[in-house]
Amino acid sequence: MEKSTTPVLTGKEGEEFDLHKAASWTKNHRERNADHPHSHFFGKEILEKILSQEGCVGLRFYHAHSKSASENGGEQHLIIVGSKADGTDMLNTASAQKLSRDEMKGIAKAHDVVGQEALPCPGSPGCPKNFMTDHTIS
Amino acid sequence: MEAKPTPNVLTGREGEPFDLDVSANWTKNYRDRNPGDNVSHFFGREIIEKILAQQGCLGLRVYDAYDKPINGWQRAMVAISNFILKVIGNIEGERHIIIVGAVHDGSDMLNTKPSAPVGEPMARAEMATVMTAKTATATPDIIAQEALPCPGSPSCPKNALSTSKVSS
Repeated sequence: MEKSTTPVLTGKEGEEFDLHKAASWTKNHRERNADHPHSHFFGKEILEKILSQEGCVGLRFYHAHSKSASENGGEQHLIIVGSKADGTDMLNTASAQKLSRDEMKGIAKAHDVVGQEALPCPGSPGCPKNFMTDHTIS
Repeated sequence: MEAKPTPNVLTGREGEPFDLDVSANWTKNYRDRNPGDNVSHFFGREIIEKILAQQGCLGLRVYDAYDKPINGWQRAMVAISNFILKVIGNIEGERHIIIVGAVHDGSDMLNTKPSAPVGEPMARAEMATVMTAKTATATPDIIAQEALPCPGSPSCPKNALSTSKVSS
């Protein structure tokens, strides 16, 4: 069954943002979640690989956690996928049909890339020191 | 002033293709732990490519952010328990992510004015001036914020990463 695919994404989403606001919003996060990573770095290679998938109009960033709510420990992660003009994620682009997760996995392996960050901060080399990471830097 | 050599800690190859099942589980874990929070954020390719095209940029650093601060009492609650904060603290504000480019030595592209060596610290006011300068000699660096969080925007997909109700 074909569902209508009205374009809801254009590739122009996301806006340039004010530096002072960026500093204060990232500070808000660090104060609320002192024990969480404050940033995640993705290299250009995997970003461009995802963007080069046919029909990809941008990246969707998913929040993720390595342990279930009932387990202790674990850490927060970010997972990125490409998205298409109709708003769907590129997990099953071989067919317009709804697929089960197992089916998607088979197809996604061959076609679509789901990326996970290699470098959380703090906790990896290359973590920058600036007012997006430390509000004592003015 | 002589530029100090800076170590290469970023290569552009960071980040790995990831398993779909693990992605589905990890995103579910996050939703279970943070009911009411945004589950994802979408950035169009235009702004991403603009940031990646900045000279020396090796990738994107993605910052977690909140648009509302917490007060002193709430901060004390954070120290005691994040759980209590969520249940009775009832703090307001929405989660966002902010993306910036980063260069080989790990520093963010907030201050790459031509005359300053990479990584040279600048005052925030100075950076803001450099970034908003419209002259050819001071190329402003781009910080971006997402336009489309999920839930809450027209583009939100239903799939194994966004809901547990899709068949497994």
